[in-house]
Formats: sequence, C-alpha cells, structure tokens
Amino acid sequence: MSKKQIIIPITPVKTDTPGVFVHEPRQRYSDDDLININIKDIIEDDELRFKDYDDEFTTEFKLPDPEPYIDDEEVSDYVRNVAIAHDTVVIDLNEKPKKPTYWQRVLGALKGLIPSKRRLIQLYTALLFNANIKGYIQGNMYQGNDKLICTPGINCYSCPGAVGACPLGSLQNSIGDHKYSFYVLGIIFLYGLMFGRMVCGWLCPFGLVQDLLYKIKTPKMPKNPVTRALSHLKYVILVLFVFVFAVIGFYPAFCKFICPAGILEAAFGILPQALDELERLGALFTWKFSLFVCFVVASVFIYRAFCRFICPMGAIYSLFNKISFFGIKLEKPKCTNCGRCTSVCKMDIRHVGDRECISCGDCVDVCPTKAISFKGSKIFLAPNEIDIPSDATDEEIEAINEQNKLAKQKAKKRSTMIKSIIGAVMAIILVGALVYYNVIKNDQLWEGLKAPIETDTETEADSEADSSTDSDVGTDTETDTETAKKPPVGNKVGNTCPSASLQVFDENGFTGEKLDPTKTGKVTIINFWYANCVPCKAELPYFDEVAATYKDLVTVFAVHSTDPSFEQAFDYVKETYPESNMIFLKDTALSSGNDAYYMDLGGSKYNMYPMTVIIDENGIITFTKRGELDKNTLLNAVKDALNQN
Amino acid sequence: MNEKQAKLVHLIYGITLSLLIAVLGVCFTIACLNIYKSAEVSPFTPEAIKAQFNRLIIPTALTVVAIIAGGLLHIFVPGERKKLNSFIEDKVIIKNLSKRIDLNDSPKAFVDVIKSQRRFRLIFLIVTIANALIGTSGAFVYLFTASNYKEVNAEDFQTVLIIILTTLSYAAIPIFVTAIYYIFASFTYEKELEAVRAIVEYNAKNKRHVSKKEEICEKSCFFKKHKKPIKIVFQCILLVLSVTLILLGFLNVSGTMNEFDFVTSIANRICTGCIGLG
Repeated sequence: MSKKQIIIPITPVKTDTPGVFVHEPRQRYSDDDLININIKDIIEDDELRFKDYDDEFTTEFKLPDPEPYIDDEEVSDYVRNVAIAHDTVVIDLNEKPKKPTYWQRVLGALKGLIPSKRRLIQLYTALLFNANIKGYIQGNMYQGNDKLICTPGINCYSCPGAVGACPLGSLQNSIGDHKYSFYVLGIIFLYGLMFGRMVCGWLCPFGLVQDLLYKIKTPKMPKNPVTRALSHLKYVILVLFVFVFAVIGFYPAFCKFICPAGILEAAFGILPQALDELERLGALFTWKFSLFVCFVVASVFIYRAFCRFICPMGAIYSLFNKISFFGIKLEKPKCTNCGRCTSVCKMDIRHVGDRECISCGDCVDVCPTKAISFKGSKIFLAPNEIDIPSDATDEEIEAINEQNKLAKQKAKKRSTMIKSIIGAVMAIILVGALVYYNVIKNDQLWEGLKAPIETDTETEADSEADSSTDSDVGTDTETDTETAKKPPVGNKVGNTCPSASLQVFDENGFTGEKLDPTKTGKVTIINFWYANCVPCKAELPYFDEVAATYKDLVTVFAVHSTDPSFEQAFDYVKETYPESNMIFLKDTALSSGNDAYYMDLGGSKYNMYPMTVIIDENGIITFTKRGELDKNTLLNAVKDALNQN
Repeated sequence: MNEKQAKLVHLIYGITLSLLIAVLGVCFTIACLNIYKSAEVSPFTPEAIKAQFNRLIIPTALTVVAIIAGGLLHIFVPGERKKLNSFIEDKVIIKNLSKRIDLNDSPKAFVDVIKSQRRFRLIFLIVTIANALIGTSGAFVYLFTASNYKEVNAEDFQTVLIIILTTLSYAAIPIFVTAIYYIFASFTYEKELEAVRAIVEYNAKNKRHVSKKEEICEKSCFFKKHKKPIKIVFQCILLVLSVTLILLGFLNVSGTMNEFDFVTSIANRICTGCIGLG
C-alpha cells in the first residue's frame, strides 16, 4: 500500500503595516486543504504518520477506532483536530525533498567557514575592548582615566590589552568598599536596557571564546531539563558571590575564586612577560587554573557552559531581556507553536526572547512563518506587495508590478545605506582606538619609563642631600671606606637598598617631614600598599604587630602608592591605625603612572601590590616578597634579619 | 563513501577527539597540582613549569592537529544534517492545548486526573519553598554571624574557601529539594498532558469545538490592553534611573574622589587575586 502524506500549508494574511502579517491560528487548517485525501491510502496498521518537509518532526499516533467514521470528511475533521492536539504543523506533499549532492554539501561546509555577522561583531568588540595591543608586546597594562568606562561584557581590567573596566569586578569592589555603587549599577542598567542578554551573544569576548571552542567537532551534550534547572545556578552565584560576599568583606569573591576570564586574558598575558611574578603563584592559582581548564573542556561539549550556568553578568542582563531596546522579538499572531525555534536554539529557552535568550538569531532562519525577527529590523523591510485584483487589465497589472519593484529597490537602497553608515562608524571607532592606545599613548609611556620626571619627584641625589639635614629618625653618616665595602645598589637580596626621600603622613595629614627608609640604623621593613588594595589592607595588621613588638629593634615603613586612593589613606589610617608604631610614607610618581620607589625596589611594571622589602641595619636587603605575606613568613623574615646582626 | 560509512567515520572521530580533549584537560590539571605540591614556598618556578608542561607539548600538538583534521573531515566527508529534536516542554503544550478544553464540560475521569496532578504540584511547591527558606536562612545566618570570622584572614584562600563551601552546603539543601521538585513536576505534567490530549481528542471525536472564554478580570485586561505603552513607560523610567545613577556616582564624592575616580583607580591596578596570582 503506497503512502500518501498530507500537506497543510500555513498562509499568512497580509496587513497594511510593512512586514507585519496576521495569522489566525483557527484558520490554520482549512477544509479545502484536506480535500481529495484517500484515508485508506494513508492508514497503515491503524497508524497515521505526519512528517514535515525535512523529515524532522514526526508525530505518530494510533487512531483509536476508525470504524465509527463514515466518510472522509469526518475523518478529515478528526485528523485535523488531532493534528492540532499533537502540535503537528507542516507536512510534506507526496514527495520527499531532494537531498543535497555531495558537492553541494562540500560547498555548504565551506560556506560555514565564512564568519557570520554575529561572529564578526564579536571579534570586533573583543578587539575594541582590548585595543591596547602593545600591552601584550611590551608587557605593561594600560592606565588612564578613560579606563573608568565599563565594558558591557566580562573583560578583565587586569588584562594587558584592556582599555575599559570590567563591570563585575568594579561592582564587587564598589559594593565592598562603599557598600553601594551608583555609577557601576547605573551603567549596568543602561547596558541591560539597551541590549539585554544580546551582550552575551554579540558583545562579550568570553562568549566568543566559548563559541569558538564549541565549534570543535565532538559529540555535544544537548540541552535538557537538567540544564534548564542548572541555569538558575547563576542567580545563586550572583547573589552570593557578587553581593553578599562583597558586603561582608570578601571581595571580589567572584573574580578571585571563579572567573576564568582573568586567568585567560590577564594571567596568561602577563606571566610570559613577567617571570618574576611566578613567585606569587600558589594555592589560588592552582584552583583557578583547574577551574579554567574545566570551563574550557566543558565549553567544547556543552554550549556556553559558563554563560548558561555561572556568569552573574548574564544573570543581571537576563532580567532586562524582555524590555531591552535591541534583541529578538516574537510576533505572537504569526507564531504557530511549532517549536522549531526552541529546538534549534542551543540555550535553555522556553520561548524566544525569554531570560535565557542571547539573541543569537539562529531561530530567525528556521521559523516557517517568519514570526521571529530582530527588534528594529523593520527599517530594513520592504513594504508589502500590492495585490493584483482579479479583474485588472494588463496595463494595470504592469503598473502594479512596476510599483512593487520600485518599492523593493527603494527599501534595498535604504537598507544598504544604513548598513554602510553603521559599518563606517564602527570601522572609524576601531581604527581610532587602535591608533590612540598603541601609537599616541605609546610615546608617553616610553618617555615615562626612561626616567622619573624631576618636577614632581625627588632624585636620589636630592634625597641624599636632604637626608644630611633631616633630624631624628633617618640620619646617619657613612665614611667613604664603609661605602666602598657595601654591596652594589640594587633590589635583590644581598644588594644595598636604594635610598629615597619620602613624605611622612599620619592620620592628620602630611607632617612636613621627609624620611629615607634606609637610614634608620635598625632592621627596616618597607611595605608598599594602597588604600583600595584589599590584600594590602589584610596584611597591614601583621606589620603593625611587628612594629609594636619589636619597636626598639625594627622600624616599619608603610609606603603608600601615588594612586588616587591616597585621598582615602588619611581616613583609613585615622580609623585603623591611630597610634600605630608604623611610619606612613607616600611614594613619588613617575609620569608613566608607576611609583618611583616601588619601581626602584623591584616593583612590577604592572603595579602589583602589595610588596615587602626587609633590610638590615646596614641597609642590605635580606628579604623581598611580591604579593601577600602571611604572618609566619613575615615573623621568620624579621627574625632572620635580626639574627644576622 | 556511502552515508553509513561516513556516519561511522564521524562517530569514531568524535569519540576519539572527545577522549583526547578530556584526557588533555585532566593532564593539565594534574601538572599544575604537581607543581603546587613540589615545594612549600614559591613552587611555581620556570624550571618546575617546564618540567611538568613540556611533557604535554606532544599531546597538545596532537589534539590541535586532530581538531584541524576534523574540520577538513567535515568539509570533504560531510556528516548528516542533524535533525531537530522536538523540544517543547509539556508545560508549554498544556498551556497551548488548554485553550481548546473546558474543564467544566469535559469527561470527569480526565478532569479528576488534571486536578489531582495540579494539587500534588501545589503541595510540593509549598514544601519546596519552605525548604528553600529554611536552607537559605541557615546560609545567611552563618554568613552574617560575626563569630565565624574571628580569625579569618580574607586573603587566606583556603579559609575563605571553607567558608564558601560551608555556606553552599546550607544552600545545597534547598537546591536538592528544588531539583526533586522539578523531577516530580515533570511526571505530573506528563500525566496532566495525557489527560489534556485525551480531552482534545474526545472533543474532536464528538465534534465539539471548544474555545476558552476570555477571563473577565479588570486588572489583567488593563495590562493586556495597554501592554505596549506600559512597556514604553517602564523603559523610560529605567533609562532615567540609569542616567541618574551614573550622575549620582559622579557627584558621590568621598574626600576628593568620586565613584568615577574609584573605578579608575581599581581598573588601573592589577587585582592579583582576580587573575589568580596568589
């Protein structure tokens, strides 16, 4: 018995609004569509099979009891209603679609290599947000006031190429430090309102990395109810790691313990150029590296594992998805609930445009009724064609056809013009950014790295001249013979520590004194810190304790960076160390943005704080440490320095 | 090569590459752990890194070559086009089909099934919410109890990790119960959907065309009628709010620094912990 298959076409009904069609679901299946069906021909073993154009949907069910049906019309009605009940939509008509030939498939595969529009925009934004390419080559980080602008997606601000701030890191630091953050919240709201989760699909560099990893041809884990349930985990992470932990003082908890973007963009970018920093690595790096490897492997098998299950930025932007200006929209009158959009989508959506939708646009092409489009895309549409009346004369037909043709051409011209303008503006912005950060800013950086500027800073010669007139702590004289016996000046253990004359401050402000930390005549600890540095503030109590315990044997200097957070240092010292034995100094600035004495003592050109140097009473360096110090290591280093003398 | 052979080739290649990638990931993690365990102080030296990671150069190169080869394979031996799997949740289908049934005028047997499944779901939802509240309250009480942080150094990675894990273990209770709810709910939706489909087929068999009457509810009608203007108003409010917040950040001065300066200062310094340098 040969099988026939039924076609039930869906015909959209046009309206006057360009590009908008109204579709009445009730009239989806008309009686005329089901004429001339020989039910006996299509029933086989009491089963009716419905298949769509591409053999992609199959709904099979058994007729409960065909006997009561007398004629074809009754069965047609039943078939129609059961089809509705089983959400069956489009069915093939008597012939199978032709399968593509081998060479058509090869050509299709080659076409797949050409980057799509979305991929190009992802590459564009990744390059724009990391326009400081010279940072990777020269091994430094961009520092400038324009870095206050937060990027929409996750892009670690510690990356050598980063030219903007990471919104997540800024949010955590702001909440942790001030317990509120108007600016960062405002800018996140603005991005969310503009784009919603389109940021994830189009603008986030880490999203691009995951998309590229997913392209590796391995078996993939399909989405399922478990992944849908897991997609709620990112909200838990948002509340706990971004807000709660910041409020109670562990911040930036997400950046520190989870975020893989920092490891990928910054650590791997910095470490090859700064092998000295390897000594900082320990348990935290091991944990983060392992987590990073997990995310990379997971992204190969699971589409956007980080975006779907972990990313707090995705969680925030998902709240704006339905009200954002840009993104995907679904025209409900045209939707027939065929489910193709949810099937083709790799995210855990329930319907197009919900909180999980990243507006990638994969669903736009598969929708049979063109119910899915991008918001604002009407501007590119041609108006509906004018229908030719059945009684039109030849001249009228020609005139109408001409009108339709002109309308289409006009729309095409408009579309091309708009796209060209947008493309040109984007190109100008990118080229401008690359030139600005890599050429214009580059010259200043080189000049700054050559020598400290004399107007703002004091040179060693000046500080040595000043030190001879300083009173109290810091005065000493050395004979020429003693100087000749001393090791060379440097910043390694065993070298003579370089001198400097730095301003003293306390809780009331600058005292007017200047001190040289190397001229105390006692074992001296020099700790470099700044008020916005969480690890610096965490270890200062140890130095305070050492200063109190060994006050006759050891002098502790806490040298603050010239960082703008210095304004907060007075209040911080007043609140936390009002009667401390530590002496607070302020470093001097280089035009590059680095701190002079910090650099003299071997500080990182990436301005990584804290750093500690211990010198003995002869001014010889006995201990240096980049990074946080724990209490035991500090005490042992102090005892070593004391025992040596 | 016929279709079956191509399918087999792709299958073998896919499994091989998956194993390669998974094993490589494990090897990288083990290498990092070995370096960390090799010394108590500053274990990550260039020599230690070279010793561990040099062994992985050849496997990594092999994997990269396999990935490239896979790309070429898919070009010259294209795989079969993946069929779309219908993935409409039962809940969504029930919502769509409910427009064609009237519970007040349907066979009692099916209606009882539908109502009983809805009742079960509601009871379990209440139980889940109660559990979630208890579990998360426990987590928050622990988090905000000052005595838990007496001797905690915020930079002590292992201590902070313990605090985080303890918090998550309190939160794990509601997560576990919620997961059970989802599994339970999916069974109830399945049974409910069977009953709903049966009612639709019953209506079809008896030539009953049912359309759900529009619920008369002033509030919902207002929102439905004015959905677009309400959305526009909401967007405008959010736009004004976000611009206001940004301006407030500019004006929120502490000392001589406003929030703009604060963000700049954070962004201009490397957060060593953030990038794992610790």
